Amino acid sequence: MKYSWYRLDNSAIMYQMVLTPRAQSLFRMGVKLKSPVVPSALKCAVDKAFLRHPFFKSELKRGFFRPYLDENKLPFIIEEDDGVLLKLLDFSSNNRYLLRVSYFGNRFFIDYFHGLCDGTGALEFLKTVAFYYFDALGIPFPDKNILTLSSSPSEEETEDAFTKYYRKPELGKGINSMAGGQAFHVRGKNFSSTGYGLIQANVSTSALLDAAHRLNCSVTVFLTALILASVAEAHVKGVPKHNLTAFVPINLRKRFPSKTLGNFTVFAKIIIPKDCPLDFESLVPVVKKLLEEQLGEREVILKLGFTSLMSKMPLFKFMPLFIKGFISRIGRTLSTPKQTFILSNMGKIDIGENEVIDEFLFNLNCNKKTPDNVGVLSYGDKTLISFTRKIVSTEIERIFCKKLASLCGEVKVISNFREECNAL
Amino acid sequence: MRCKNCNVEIACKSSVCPLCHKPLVSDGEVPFPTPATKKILMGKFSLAYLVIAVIANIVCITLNFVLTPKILWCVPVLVSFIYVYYFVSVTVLAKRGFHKRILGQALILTAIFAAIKLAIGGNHWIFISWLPAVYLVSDLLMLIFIFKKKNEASKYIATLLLLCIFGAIPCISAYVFDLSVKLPSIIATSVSAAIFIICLIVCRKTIIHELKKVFNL
Ligand SMILES: [Zn+2]
Repeated sequence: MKYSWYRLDNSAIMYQMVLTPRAQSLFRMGVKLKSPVVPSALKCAVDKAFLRHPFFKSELKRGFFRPYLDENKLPFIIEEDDGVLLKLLDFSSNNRYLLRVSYFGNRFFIDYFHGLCDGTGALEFLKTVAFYYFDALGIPFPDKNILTLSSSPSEEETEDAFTKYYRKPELGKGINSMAGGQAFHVRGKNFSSTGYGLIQANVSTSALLDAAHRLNCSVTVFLTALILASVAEAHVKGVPKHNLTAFVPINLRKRFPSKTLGNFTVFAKIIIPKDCPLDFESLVPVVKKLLEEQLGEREVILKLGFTSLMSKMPLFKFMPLFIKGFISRIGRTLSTPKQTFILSNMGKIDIGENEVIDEFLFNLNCNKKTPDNVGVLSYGDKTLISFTRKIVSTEIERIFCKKLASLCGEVKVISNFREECNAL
Repeated sequence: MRCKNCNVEIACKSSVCPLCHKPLVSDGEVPFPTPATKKILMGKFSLAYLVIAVIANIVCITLNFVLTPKILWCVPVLVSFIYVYYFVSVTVLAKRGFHKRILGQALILTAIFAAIKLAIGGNHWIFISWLPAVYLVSDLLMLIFIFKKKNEASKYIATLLLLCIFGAIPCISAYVFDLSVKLPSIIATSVSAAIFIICLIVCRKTIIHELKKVFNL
């Protein structure tokens, strides 16, 4: 397929419109190898991955009505990680790419601008990079569930799935509920400069599944309830003024037959009633019921319709981009936090057995309004639960890990010790 | 190494538990590098410049209205401060494309000339010679830049065309303000128009392709 240009999907437009030099929606995926990363092989792997995924070899351009992705012909640069987690992309020094590839020790990372793709698309690109990394080193590596150059990139991989699967939602009450009310906001002293704190808890996947099954719930429900309980213990005194609210991304590719690598995710909103007891055991059935409601077909179509609304309403469709951006920025500045935290569970990565990859890594973005977010993914018998935080305090993480250890056995913790470096 | 307080295994090299920050003895790996810190200079420059500009302009506006209220010479002073800030922060320090800097400079200089003309009035030499010169130089710089980057010229065509469209300003202003000497303005606009027409003829396919992208067709 000859590269030309790509229309940006609906949620990507939102990310682009509120993009400023100081605020970018980034997230990180990475791989921990069993031996140190060889930078030359990594560079070679990224270049080959771009051949398979030309969609990622792009730069963001502003159209008159909508932004779009245009082919980036400049060379891609990989760099050694400098320890500033999810550092802003410097478009002038990185040749305007919407992702950054870096390495440190046994790990390599890819930081993605969310306007380009969601976690699923990012993981596909990461797996392709990992495959060609071992290919460059001459290490045999299975290509199970990996998109390689043995198949050609298809147009379905770059489609605007929101528009393709849009169904007109029932307007009125449903749409109003989409906007949501103010959520309980975790407060604390913020890190003053860029770079987030990271606490990564590593637990056995089978032990976690057993613990969830004992409570008759899924891993997502289990972890959401546990984080909610930890937030409550760390930050809520008495009855909270606003509802504790967890946002859980729903991968729409499981509902609609889309192969897009772009964004195709909506949020399930778990809004805990104010009168609900906030201990873990009481929260599990509540979260389970609320998540099931949010995953109902009517609710999902409503969310899909709400996300697509902007490109369907003629007023928004034909409004010049700079006006849309101005309105969005004002809206974002004035809006109250709609979620206490985001928990994104990528699920289990299945690329067959190998002797070279130790772990996959996943770190979400966070900001002042939502200062502690959680990314989860499983690979082999390891589940990595990564807390990315803007606040100095690690109290939520401490309570969470202690409780997790009591429920699932051994928990291994690592940190980037952001609170200890001079940039505080 | 275990933290007994948190009941977790600490799997990275550290002297304290990352959760409760109590001391421990650990010999694990270093998973992440320690970031270097740097000071942000631009923020301080902006603040200092803003303070100086506000004070200087208050003084100028006061003196202007007290001493010579008929001629608003404080307006050129104000726009000069704005221009210097724009020149330093956008044209020099911001690392945007050279083609955008040329267009930006042409437009802001046009705005400044207009502000001076409207504030001071008269058949001003700025509109007779300087404005056409800005557009002639901008056209020339843009052509040199695109010629140097001819392999990716399609990226800059839109900016060139936009500059050519704005190139009509000298001629329009010459007739609107009925300038005593119109020839420089006519030459500047004619050059812009010629570049515009040649571009349309030579790069027709590229322009259609770019328009499709920009208007999402
Ligand atoms: Zn501890």
